[in-house]
Amino acid sequence: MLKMIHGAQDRDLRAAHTTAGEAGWPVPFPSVLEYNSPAHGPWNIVHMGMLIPGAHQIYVCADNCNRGVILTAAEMGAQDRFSNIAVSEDDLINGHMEELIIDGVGEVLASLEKKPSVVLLFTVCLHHFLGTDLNYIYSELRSRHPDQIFIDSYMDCILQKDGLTPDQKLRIGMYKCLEKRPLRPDQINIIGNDLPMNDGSELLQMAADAGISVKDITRCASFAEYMTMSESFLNISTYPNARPGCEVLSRRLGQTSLYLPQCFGYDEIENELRSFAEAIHAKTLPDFASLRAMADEALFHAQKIAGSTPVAVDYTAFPRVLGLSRLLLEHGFNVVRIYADAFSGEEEEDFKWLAANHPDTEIYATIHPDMRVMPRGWDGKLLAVGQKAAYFTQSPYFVNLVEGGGLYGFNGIRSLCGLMEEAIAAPKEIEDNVVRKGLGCLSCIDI
Amino acid sequence: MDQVLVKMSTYTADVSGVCSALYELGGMVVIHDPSGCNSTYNTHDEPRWYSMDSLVFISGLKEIDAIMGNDDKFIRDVEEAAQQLKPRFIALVRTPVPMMIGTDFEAIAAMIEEDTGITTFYVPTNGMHSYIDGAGAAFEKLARLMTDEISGKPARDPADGSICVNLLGVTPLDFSVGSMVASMKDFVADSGFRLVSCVAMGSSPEEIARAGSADVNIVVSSTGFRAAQVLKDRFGTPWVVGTPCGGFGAAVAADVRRAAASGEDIISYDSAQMPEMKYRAGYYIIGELVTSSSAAAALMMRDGEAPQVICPLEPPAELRKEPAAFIRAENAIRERLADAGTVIADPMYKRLCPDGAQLIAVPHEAYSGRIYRKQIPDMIKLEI
Amino acid sequence: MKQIAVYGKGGIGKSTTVSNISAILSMKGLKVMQIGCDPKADSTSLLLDGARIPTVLDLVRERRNDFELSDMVYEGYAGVLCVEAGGPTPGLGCAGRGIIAALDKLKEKGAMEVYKPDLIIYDVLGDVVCGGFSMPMRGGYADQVFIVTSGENMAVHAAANIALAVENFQKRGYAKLGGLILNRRNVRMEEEKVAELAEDIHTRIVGTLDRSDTVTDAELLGKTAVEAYPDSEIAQQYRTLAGTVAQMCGLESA
Repeated sequence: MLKMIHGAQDRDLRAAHTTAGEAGWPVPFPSVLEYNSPAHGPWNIVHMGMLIPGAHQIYVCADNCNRGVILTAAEMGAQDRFSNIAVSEDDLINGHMEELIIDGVGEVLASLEKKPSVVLLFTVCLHHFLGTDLNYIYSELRSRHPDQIFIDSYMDCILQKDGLTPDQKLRIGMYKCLEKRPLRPDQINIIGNDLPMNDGSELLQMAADAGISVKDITRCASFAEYMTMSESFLNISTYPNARPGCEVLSRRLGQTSLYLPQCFGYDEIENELRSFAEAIHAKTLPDFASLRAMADEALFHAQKIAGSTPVAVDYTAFPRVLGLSRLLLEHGFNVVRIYADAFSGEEEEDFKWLAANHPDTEIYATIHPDMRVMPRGWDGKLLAVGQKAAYFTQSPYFVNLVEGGGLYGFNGIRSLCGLMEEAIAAPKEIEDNVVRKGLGCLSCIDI
Repeated sequence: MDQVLVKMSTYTADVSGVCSALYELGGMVVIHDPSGCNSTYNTHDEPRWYSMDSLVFISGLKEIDAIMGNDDKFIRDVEEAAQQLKPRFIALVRTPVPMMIGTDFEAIAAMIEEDTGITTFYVPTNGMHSYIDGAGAAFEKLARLMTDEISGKPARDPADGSICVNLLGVTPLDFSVGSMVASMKDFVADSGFRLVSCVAMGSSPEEIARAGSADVNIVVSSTGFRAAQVLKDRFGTPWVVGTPCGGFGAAVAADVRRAAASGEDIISYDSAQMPEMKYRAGYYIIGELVTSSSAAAALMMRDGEAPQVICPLEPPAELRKEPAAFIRAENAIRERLADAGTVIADPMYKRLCPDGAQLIAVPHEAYSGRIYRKQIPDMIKLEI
Repeated sequence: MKQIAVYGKGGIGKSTTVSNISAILSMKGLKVMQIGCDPKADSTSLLLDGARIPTVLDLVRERRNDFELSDMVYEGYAGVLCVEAGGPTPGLGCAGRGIIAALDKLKEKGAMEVYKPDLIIYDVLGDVVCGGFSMPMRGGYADQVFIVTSGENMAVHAAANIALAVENFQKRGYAKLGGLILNRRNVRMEEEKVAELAEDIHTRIVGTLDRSDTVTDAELLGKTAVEAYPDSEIAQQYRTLAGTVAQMCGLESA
């Protein structure tokens, strides 16, 4: 029987890792074949779509493509909100793809016990290559089912390297059914997050202090409540993939859009909060000096516990993985390794800082094929921040978090420190945690 | 409409079937696809992904490369990875878009083989068929390309004259990673046979290379049938189709001895030696054809009555025997189950069963994936 | 802005006809954009002294999104704006998807807003064999389709096929069939055959072009007949045809 092959042979695996001082910007590794690790915590389009209360998702695709999405829905206990129209070879050549979709959707709708608030209809790569007339499909569907809202959605991975990803497209699409309404000066939205922002964040506190309510799809209890997001005068996005959706929505509804990405530089955080204060016409500002001091204190406390324990971080935990690394290094943590396949344009300054100040910090790919055979493990104790970091280092001392975890601002930094302390103190079972899809969603697998 | 699924899940498709079949053999499997196929496979269709390494990758096909027919990047990336990772073989797997644009995988495989010196083949999947096709085609390639020529059939094991057998069609998709594979190997030993190879779980490539030396091939899932046909062609080895569940195992063993003696091919669940099946109305078993038909036979022997087999997959025509029903469409399955009192099936079929019907849960990895993995009974021991 | 698409059997003279029409209407003061929708990428060469311009898909392949409109849109004879969609080499890839991707890229780069053409002419390859090649006749693109044909059987059959596609798509609001352009090959009973075709597909012949060596002579120079031999009989026929097309599009010359 084949043994584990990672680390089994002497190989030159330099193609899959480099250092901060030598890494190319913004993509340090070549685009070759891709490996997919067992860490599956980040949300996919099924998880995201289910955030719309009462939504039903219909995928029109081949069986192999459907397998992943239908089981995502099943694993999160949402199989009753999911249907499929299976595409066969004959459908590719018989010229009736549009009819298949139109009639198939009709049949799904007729068989549902409850009318969905919204139907997210997903077409795929094949439809682009067939030249399927999606405009005609939606126009016909809306004509046949005038009381049903349809959102054009896409699982078209073939376009993702040179255009918007299916994830980004859905974060645009998910807000398409919000209709133009009079705007309220006392309500704002957080757009495009999968996870709720931490309750203690300064942003939420500032809104509350200003008498402004904050709507977030992650907390909407009903479709009616979700639709009231149309009335907000301001849309905030904090997750990079959410930015296009936020901007498109704002333009359409005449709302103001503000991109305040989750970040770790104190100046940047403060600037963002100041921009926010201005946008909501806040009468007072937080005590930034005090917030900075509290963040420093939390970092100091956590660093005392961590000591010289090596730290590895990965991009699935925080989009601004370089910013996080810099914050931790500046506060004395021993960040030795960053797992990321590419860097966001927003991180150039932090990239340069790392290259200048910590050029030996290792940068490892996560999808390069060599990562399949890269030795997994770490000699001694290591704190991992992120599931991929945990998997590749096999460290049970890890912060299990994806997509920034909703940890925004100075408060987010303090919360992260708490999570790191917890992680160092108590090991976790790696496999059972990292293989579950959509961290934060129900996961009913029994492995 | 036959193609609409509202309550049903989707079986593992052909692409994942190939990966599952070839997983343990030291090769490199490359799925030519933009993204998604690899994570779908390793999340839902491969319980070994975390605990056992295998070289399964995706090509990351981009739109412009598909439009312009830029196969060069694909070839280059495969060759570079092969040079680095030195796999025993390379398998190229096709997905919907390359199929649509007519990518010539045969030619690409030949070019890669010539450039790298590594056996390279392509499996003609397209993402629209089940794992029966995919794993079946992969096992067929194995039988054709990765088994050694045998000059003259060796005599029975000189040590004890025991019949040598292969188990064909063994993947976690049908047998999970619990005790079933070990139970099948126990069956081989307890029946007095000697195992040449288990294709393809728990046997090394060297053992599988000797598959041609077996006296009889036991096909335990329909994924193994095409390989059995190839081995019959190449080595004259007869096949016996049947999963040795419970008391049915004795019938399979008897058929193996008969086949060894006479050279005949036997479908155990349809053989003349089988007792007459008594089907109770409203009693069904849903699943892969060979395992379900074998379980039905075992239940007949144990309980004096058998469930009717409903197979929603596409097994080879030679294995389809009445009264098994081959129904794929959700509406048709629901209709068939209208009178169901007891259904043995994956728990995800509960939604298709009428109210009041009892579902005896036998989770199937190829259907519900990892959701009920710990609850999968050992059907070889007929633990239901 | 008006848009027309021109289809017809491969080699029937679409690009030659379209290039001459583009040149004439441009000389009359209309801003004309000619978009070649054929992997061969040779639609506009007669407007560019026989030169070939970089195709949209070549640019995407080489530079992903890092290029400007001016890299894809070239000014040819008489100010005609020339674009070539491009596509894969024969036997590879997917030309139909290529057409869609190229037209999407033009839209994405804002070609229409920047250049504000009065008329766009899509010159589309011979046979509409998949969804991509029907793209130029869809909603948001051409309002009318013209089919170039001769009296040769293959050309007539191709024209009928394309007309069938146009008719099938009427319920989707696609382009209407504007008419046939007879590009004579001087085969027997040519007029009658094409007239019969027109009747069968419920349309009319909107223009007739004689078979002319002048066209070939001009092509050898890498030019349209209208540029190389402006006083020739065939140039006059192109002018008549161009006038008819403009009128059918509701376009008045500047």
